[in-house]
Amino acid sequence: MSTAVVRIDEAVLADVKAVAGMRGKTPGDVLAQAWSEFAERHRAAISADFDRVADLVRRGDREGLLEFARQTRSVRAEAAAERAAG
Amino acid sequence: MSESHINTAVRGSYFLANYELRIAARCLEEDFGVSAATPIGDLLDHPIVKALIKDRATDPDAGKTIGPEAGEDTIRRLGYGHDHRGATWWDRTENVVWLCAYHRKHRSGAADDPFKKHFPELIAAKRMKPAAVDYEALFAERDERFVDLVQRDAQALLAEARREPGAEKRAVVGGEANVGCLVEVVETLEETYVAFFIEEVTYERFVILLNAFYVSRFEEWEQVRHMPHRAIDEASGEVCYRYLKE
Repeated sequence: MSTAVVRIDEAVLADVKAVAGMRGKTPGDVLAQAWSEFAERHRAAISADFDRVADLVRRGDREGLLEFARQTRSVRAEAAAERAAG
Repeated sequence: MSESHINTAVRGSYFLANYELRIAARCLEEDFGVSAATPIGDLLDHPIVKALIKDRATDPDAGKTIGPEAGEDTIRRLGYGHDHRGATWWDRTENVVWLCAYHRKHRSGAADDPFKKHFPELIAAKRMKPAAVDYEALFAERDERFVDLVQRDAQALLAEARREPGAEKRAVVGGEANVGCLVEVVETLEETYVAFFIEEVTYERFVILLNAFYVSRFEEWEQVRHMPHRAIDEASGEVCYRYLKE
């Protein structure tokens, strides 16, 4: 049973949505550049997420990891559906 | 995809070597008349699902077009015997062939000929392609697979890289991420390079992936543009991180 409350930062979520929207229609070098800028811009939030996930891994908390993994699923699904619709 | 999954049905997907076959939720509910949550394994004896597996196993974008040729948006015909007709779409970004629509009583030229009525109506209404609910289900299954496999796969890849320092080893990690790993030993320091492609690794998976190699703090990883033996392939969206361990 997960005990960790894991919430991805809203600003990170917005940028993840932007990157998700770029998938499948953006050259790789632009994606890589976008990633590097994303990682630099959100260092503190990523660092906090690393600490939470490290704790989940140490405790073997599968449900917690699933909870963490699913956080941007909806925005990624919406981005994928928009891409599919053309 | 691990070899043990190839040519098997797991939940919503039928796995081939390089892509998956899935049935869109709208198609399941309205065309098959079953729940959107029906596993594809429950439908393997259905004629159009047999055709999906047989005809799309070697070429995901095979078949005549339904409507005009539209590049990567082209919808293609699927058929089984005289009666069963389907429409598929090859989703290159997600590596999925979607069965988007099905009609069980095809009669060419008849009033309900699906190529004249059902399929064009779905296209016109923008209901042919998979919707957000389809991607939610796909990503949910992939997230679960990733979490279940990532630790084991990452540690196996790290062990292989340690056995041959200086040589890059590659493996599919977490069911779908193509990851490169190289370990170099410099005096008392062990440098580990982990390279992956942004197209294949979501933000959450990035955090989980690096922690599957080393339970760590983000500050302990440094993004680098070169491995010892090659430049990172940024043109393909590759990203690499280095971890130093004493």
